Amino acid sequence: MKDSSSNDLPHLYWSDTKLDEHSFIPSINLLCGEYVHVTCADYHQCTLLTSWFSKQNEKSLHVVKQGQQLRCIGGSVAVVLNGRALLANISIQENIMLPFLYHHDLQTLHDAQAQLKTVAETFGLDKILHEKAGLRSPLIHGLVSLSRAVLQQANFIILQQPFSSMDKQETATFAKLVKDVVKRLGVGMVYLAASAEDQADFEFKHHVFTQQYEESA
Amino acid sequence: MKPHKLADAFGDVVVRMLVYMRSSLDLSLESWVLLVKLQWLTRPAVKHVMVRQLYFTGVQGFAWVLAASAMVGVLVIYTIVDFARQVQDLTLIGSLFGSVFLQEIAPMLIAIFLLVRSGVAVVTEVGNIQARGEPLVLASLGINENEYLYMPRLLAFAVSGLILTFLFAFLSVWFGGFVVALTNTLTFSEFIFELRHGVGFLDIVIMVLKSLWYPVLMVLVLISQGHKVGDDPNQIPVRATYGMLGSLAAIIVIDIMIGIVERVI
Repeated sequence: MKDSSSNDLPHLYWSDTKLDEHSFIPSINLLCGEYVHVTCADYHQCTLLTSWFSKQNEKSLHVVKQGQQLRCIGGSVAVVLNGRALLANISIQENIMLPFLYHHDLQTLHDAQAQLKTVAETFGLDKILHEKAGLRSPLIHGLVSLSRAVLQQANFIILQQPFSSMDKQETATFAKLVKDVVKRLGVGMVYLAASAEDQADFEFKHHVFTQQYEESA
Repeated sequence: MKPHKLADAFGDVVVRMLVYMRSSLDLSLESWVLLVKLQWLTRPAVKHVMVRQLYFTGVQGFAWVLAASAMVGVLVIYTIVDFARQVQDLTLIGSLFGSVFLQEIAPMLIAIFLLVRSGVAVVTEVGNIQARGEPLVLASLGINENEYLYMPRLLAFAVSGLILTFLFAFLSVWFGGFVVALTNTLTFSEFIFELRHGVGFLDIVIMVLKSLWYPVLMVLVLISQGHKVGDDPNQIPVRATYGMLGSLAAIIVIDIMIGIVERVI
């Protein structure tokens, strides 16, 4: 049973999410500050994420705080995809600011603009801020995603195999930054990996595995 | 090939064409709905894309339209005036200008110009966006892919098509009239007089419809082909070729259909 203070914290829910005709990811109720490890094959991760991000399927992933539903994707939930964060045709700065420029919540936009320089310096992006994104290393993609997460003041962060395309040194650098951000923001985390052994030294409270429809029946 | 296999192959082609047309129609309808809802006006990110697309498609294309009107426009108008003089019926200048130049040449030439100059860019850019997995990035930020990527391109093509066609026709009249007067074929005021009396309201309406419809149709074909790239970058040149040929075929088919409807009415 959760204590009364947990009701004031944001909760992330998702319902059973179909991956294909035979398998699904079971539902969960995650409290802000808790970590969940989702083990899901590479080829299912994209399906899972697409389903969670889909506007037509808003009930699949949503965040509730004190009985009120918060804007989920691009709002209270930040996403770090494996090697994918940048749109090639715009600058790094525009990439970082994209969710704020799109959703155009004036207060959030002003806050994000005010903090942009500091955040870019923290992640070492300040020198390339005005360069066109083009093709960048997975580390830069990851850093841009983390910058967005910090600026969004997200309550939850979804990490999709964040270290799988990086070399040893990049992995160490990025892992340290991810841990700092997760600790500093006090966010809940959804860690998506193909293997249950890929835990990146996080202490997960929940472990979710792909299930077969026959098994659950 | 046995008859039933031939029927299967034919049916397969027809079904694929219908699916393709349906997806293009859905894309078009969603884009227009998004455009009319005007939510994009409150989204600086979408407005930036819109301005950039209008600049690349319309403003940067203006110099080419200027050159085309000084060459093709002048040539066509001089030929029309010369023909009318030879058959000794100057009233033909206005009617030929309306039915040939305004209704057919101007929208078709600008559509081909947009296809060659910006169409290739659209299909390869959309293809690259798909290959790089950017739609998932946009979805992860809660950004509507259609509103951010496709609706601005659709609008840029429609607006640029309309404005450039008008400019092309307008500049051709002035350049053409100037050359006609310079060669003592007809005075400039006589030329304008004949145009004013020969060009009908229907000519202008058809030019407007075509100059809007052709670019929209083209960009729908190009975006649909770019979409088909998926995560395979090798498909980009293939889809670019299909996109170009498909767009040309689409506007020719539509042109023939408009011609038939015009005759029937």
